[in-house]
Amino acid sequence: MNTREISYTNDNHKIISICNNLKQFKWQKGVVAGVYDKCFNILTENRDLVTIFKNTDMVSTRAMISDVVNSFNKTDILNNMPVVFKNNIIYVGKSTFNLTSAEYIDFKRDRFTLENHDKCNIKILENVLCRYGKQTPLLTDGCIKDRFSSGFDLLKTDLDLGIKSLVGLGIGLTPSCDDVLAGMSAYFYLTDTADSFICHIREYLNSQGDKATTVVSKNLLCDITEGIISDTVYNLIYSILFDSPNIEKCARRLLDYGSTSGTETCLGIIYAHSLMVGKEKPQWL
Amino acid sequence: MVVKNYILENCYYDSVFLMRLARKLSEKDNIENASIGMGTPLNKDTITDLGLNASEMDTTGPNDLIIAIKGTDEEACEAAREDFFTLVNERETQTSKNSFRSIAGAKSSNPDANLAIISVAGEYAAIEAKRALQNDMNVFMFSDNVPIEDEVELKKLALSRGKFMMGPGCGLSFINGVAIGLCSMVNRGDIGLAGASGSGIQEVMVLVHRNGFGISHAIGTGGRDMSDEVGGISMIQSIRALSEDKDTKVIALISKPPAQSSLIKVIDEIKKCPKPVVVHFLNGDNTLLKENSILYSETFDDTARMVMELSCGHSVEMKKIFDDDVDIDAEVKKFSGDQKYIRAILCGGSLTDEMQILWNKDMGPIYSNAAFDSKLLLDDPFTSVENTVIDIGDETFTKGRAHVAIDPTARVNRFIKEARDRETAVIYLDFLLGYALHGDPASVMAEAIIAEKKRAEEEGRHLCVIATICGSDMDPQDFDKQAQILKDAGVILADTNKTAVEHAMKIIKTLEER
Repeated sequence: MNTREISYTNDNHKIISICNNLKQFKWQKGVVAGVYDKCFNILTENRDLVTIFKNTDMVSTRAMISDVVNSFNKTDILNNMPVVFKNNIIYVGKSTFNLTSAEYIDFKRDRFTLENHDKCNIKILENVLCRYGKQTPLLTDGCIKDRFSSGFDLLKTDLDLGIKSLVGLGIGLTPSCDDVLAGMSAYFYLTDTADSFICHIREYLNSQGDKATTVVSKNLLCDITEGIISDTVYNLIYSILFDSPNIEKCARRLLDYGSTSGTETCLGIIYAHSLMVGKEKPQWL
Repeated sequence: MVVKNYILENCYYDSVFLMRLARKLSEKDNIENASIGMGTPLNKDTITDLGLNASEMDTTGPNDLIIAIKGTDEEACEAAREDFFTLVNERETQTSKNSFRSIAGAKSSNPDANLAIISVAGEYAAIEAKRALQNDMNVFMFSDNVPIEDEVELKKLALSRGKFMMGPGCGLSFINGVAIGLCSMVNRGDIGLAGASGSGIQEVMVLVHRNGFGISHAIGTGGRDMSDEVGGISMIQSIRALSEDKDTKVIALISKPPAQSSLIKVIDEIKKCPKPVVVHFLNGDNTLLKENSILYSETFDDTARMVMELSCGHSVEMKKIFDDDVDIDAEVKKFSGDQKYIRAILCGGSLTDEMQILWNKDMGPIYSNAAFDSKLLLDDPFTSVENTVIDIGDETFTKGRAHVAIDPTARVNRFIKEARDRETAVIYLDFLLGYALHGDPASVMAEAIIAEKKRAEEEGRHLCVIATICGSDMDPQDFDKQAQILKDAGVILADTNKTAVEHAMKIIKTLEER
């Protein structure tokens, strides 16, 4: 982008809040990678993900929350459009996003101390998912369904092979199995019950992530393995463990995420719980 | 066959959109299969498993989108690729041109708009409806799960502004010749309908249409309108509106059983109405109606016949479309010794109700997930017991999908399950036509019917499938074509829900007596 293009800017916005973990990324250039109603993604020159959201409290761990109230689909921001970050201002097409007065928000989580896992509470989540969950390729698409099923079975006996057979499986921006693994990782991290699972995922993403899955998905999954977990996922797991009257409310908020990502993350939480309390507990748990 | 892979670098779409695109491309003539997904190694394996891999795929990375197509020749694949871009552009154009941030914005862009259709999650629906009413618009609310106190407030607000609040949970309306929601297209005429019974109202509408009469308006009121809390606000408003409407000569009210307090208010309103009114409360106690000399009926066929006779002033013989002379004995001879039950899998909730009423009256108990009698409520809605009728449109089965009359997957699966039950003799299906409903419901089911009939035959059984088509010749699905597809699949077609149930009862009765 050159200065002439910048001079055409006519849609100036403010960034209100920024996730703390974005501080560590130094970037000057990027490209738009997906434009949606509530947000659009930027991939920086270092393949890091930054997501600019409209003014909402439903955000990911890579969020910059703007004062935009319109759908981003109604702006001129398009896939593959170049992005410039200079002097605390992000330039995209005719829009600017000024970070000068933004506050930082922290999604790094402490772990819970647990005495037991309550089976009844997970039933509430299962019921909400049955009623309001979206149709996911994981449960409907023959090929993906079979591969997911065998990958999940493998996960119980061989973590490395299981993770390898799941990461990147699914057709969309965040492949469905990655969302399931995100739900499982968040549950295991917060309950402090399966460090080996978290470590294996982190190692796999660090060594193979760029080849195995989309860059957006890799970034979000990596955050979870570092304990950087969005409010929506955190609140749902908290409600399952300590605040059952709010499970439905929290679950329905998570189900609104993405096209099917929320549903698949919920599934991941349920699967993680079932592994914890099931009769055939994997050796790594 | 030719396989082509088209690669779009750094291209990102959500999975539901991609699934829909792949399905649309697969349905094209000359295309055998299509798959679209990000180029992760595991997705590439999946595409390979489907036999949709080509050399172009080898160099892709996980951030590239792969459009994999198998078609009769290169031209077919290329046409499908172009369709992909057309569909993507359509979505982007629609998003930018036809979407508004608020109801006020939409109203200011289209000042003549006088109806808002609301289909957002229940928790947000009331506030949107209020905004629409405050912007001088009538409301058709498809959304449900709206608190009843909000419903009362909205209906009172609508009333005070001279507007209609149709819903919450309103399946269809037909206003000034416009079909709204999941509604069939019918001729206009002098018969006005109001009530809370989506498929029931549709059944009466199409019967009226088939017999050469027409509908002035059909006003949906929402399922809770006749409750104690709501007090029939919309029903009473509808009676008044139809009473004042110069194009309406006869009125029929169709609803689930009302609360006593609402019934009394509605009876008072009917008595004030100068036009003839026929009341049809499904499984309702008609004592009060009789005492007040109000006309009533107990089946949709009778409701349709009565309003037509009131409209023309003489008796009407219902037109027959399908042969109702089914050779019961010939059917019964084909069943194995184990086969004895009916399994009805219906999209229409009111048709399910009517079937229960008819069956209970003539045959005895029938189990259901929507049973009137709690003793006949299925413990597990996914497992039938003896004679069973399933309201497959119930949320239990759709799990976040569209209504089963739009996305028939849940019914196809249930049909296969029932067809393979060795005790199933008859399966009864309804096919709803109209705008916003599935474009070709008969074809979707015919494939399964043919396969399961063949399977049953190979196993020494016989599968009798009865169906009714609740739609008109003006519906976009093409009534005659739907009927032909079902006939070709060996289905016995009945004109109405009542006739279909009567055929089924005769068969099951004969089976019981053999």
